[in-house]
Amino acid sequence: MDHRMTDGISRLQGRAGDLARRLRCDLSPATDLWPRIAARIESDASPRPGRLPRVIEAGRDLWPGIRARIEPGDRLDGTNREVTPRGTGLAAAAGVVAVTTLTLVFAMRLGDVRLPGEVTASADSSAGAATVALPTWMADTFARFGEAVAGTPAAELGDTARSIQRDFLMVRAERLQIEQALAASVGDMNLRAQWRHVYLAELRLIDETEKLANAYGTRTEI
Amino acid sequence: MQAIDNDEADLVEQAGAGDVAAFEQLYRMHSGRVYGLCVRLAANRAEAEDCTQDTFVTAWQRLADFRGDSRLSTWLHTIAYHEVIGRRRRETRNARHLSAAGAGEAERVDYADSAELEDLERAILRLPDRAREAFVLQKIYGYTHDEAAGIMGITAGACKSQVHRAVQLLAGALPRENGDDDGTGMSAGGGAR
Repeated sequence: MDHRMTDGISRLQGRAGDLARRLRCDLSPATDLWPRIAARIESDASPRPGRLPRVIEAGRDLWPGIRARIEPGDRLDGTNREVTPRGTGLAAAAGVVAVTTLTLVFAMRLGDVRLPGEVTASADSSAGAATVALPTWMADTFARFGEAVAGTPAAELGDTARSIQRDFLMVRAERLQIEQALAASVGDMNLRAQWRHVYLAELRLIDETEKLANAYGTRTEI
Repeated sequence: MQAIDNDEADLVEQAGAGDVAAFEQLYRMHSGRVYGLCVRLAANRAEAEDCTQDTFVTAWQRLADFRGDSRLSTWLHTIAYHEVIGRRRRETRNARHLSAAGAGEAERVDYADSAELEDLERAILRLPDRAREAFVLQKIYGYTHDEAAGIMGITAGACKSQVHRAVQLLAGALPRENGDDDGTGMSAGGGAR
C-alpha cells in the first residue's frame, strides 16, 4: 500500500479515536453516531444569541438624510452597470485558487486517496468506499455514517445539522451518479478523476462534521 | 403574514416605479433590522448610521434588481453587509481598530433586563471581523449557513468554520469576563452536559 495512504489512514484512525473519546462513545455503531453529533452540534445553538434583539433603533431618524440623496430618476439598472473583464477574470481566478487550495489541503491532510486501477466501480453505493482501499472498518463507518445522515428526517434536525445533511446528500448523489457511469465505462479516466474529486469532498464533509463534534466536545470540557 | 408579504410586495413595486413615499414605508419597516446588523458588524454607531443610510440609498438605486427571489430583508442585509465591509476596507487600519475593549464599551447596547445579554453583546463586538460577521448573521439574524455564506460571498464551509471559531472564542471569553461559567450559556455547551 502506498505509504502516503498508510500515513493518511493512521491520521484518520487517530482522529476517529480522538472523536470517540470526546464523544465518549464507540465509533463502530456509526448509525447511532449521527444523531449524537447532530444533537451536539445543535446544542451550541445557545439560545442566548437568539435572544439578542434583531431590531435596534438608531439614535436619530436617518430618513431625512436618505431622502435628500434619492431622486425618482436616480436608478441603476442591469444595463448600465459596468462589469470589467478584469474584475470577472480576477473573480474566476480567485474561485479556482480557492477550490484547488481546499482540495489540495484536504488531500494532504488525509493522505493521497487513489482509485486503484484493478478495482472496478459499480453502482453499489458502497463501491466508492471499497475502491479507495480504505480499511474495511473505516469504509463501513463512512458508509453507515452516510446512511445515518441520509436517513434522518430533516425535520428532526436543527439548522446546522440539516445544512450538513443537505451538503452530504448532494455530494453523495453526485458520487453515485458518477459510479453508475463508471460501471458502464470503467476505463474512463475523466470519470475516474471526477469520482476521486467527489469522494474527497464526501470524506471532507465527514471530516468537517467530526471537527464540529470535536469543537463541541471541547466546549463541554471548559 | 401573507398580507404583510403582499403589502411589502406592493410597496416594492410602487417604490420601483419611483414612489418615494412607498420607499419610506419600506425604510420604516426594515431600518431597525438593517441598523441592528450594521451596528454589530461595524461595532460603531456613527458608522452604522452612515452604512444604514448608504444601504437604503443603494437599495433605492438598485430596486430594479430585486426580483423577489429572496426576502427583501435578506436583500437589504446583503447590501448592508457590503456597505460595512466596503467602508472598513477604505479606512485606515488605525481608524478601523480603535481598541477592541474601547469599542466594546462605547458601542454597548443597553439591556435594562439582562446584564448577561449586555456581556454577550459586548463580547460579540470584540470578535474578529469575519467570525463576528458570520456569527451575527447566523446566530442573531437566523440565517442558515448557506444564506449567511451567500451574503458574505464565501462558501458554506468557510461560514461554518467562522461561526464555530466565534462560538469557541465566546465560550472562552465570557466565563473570564463574568468570573463564573454559569451565566454565559456559551461555555458549557447547553444541553450537552
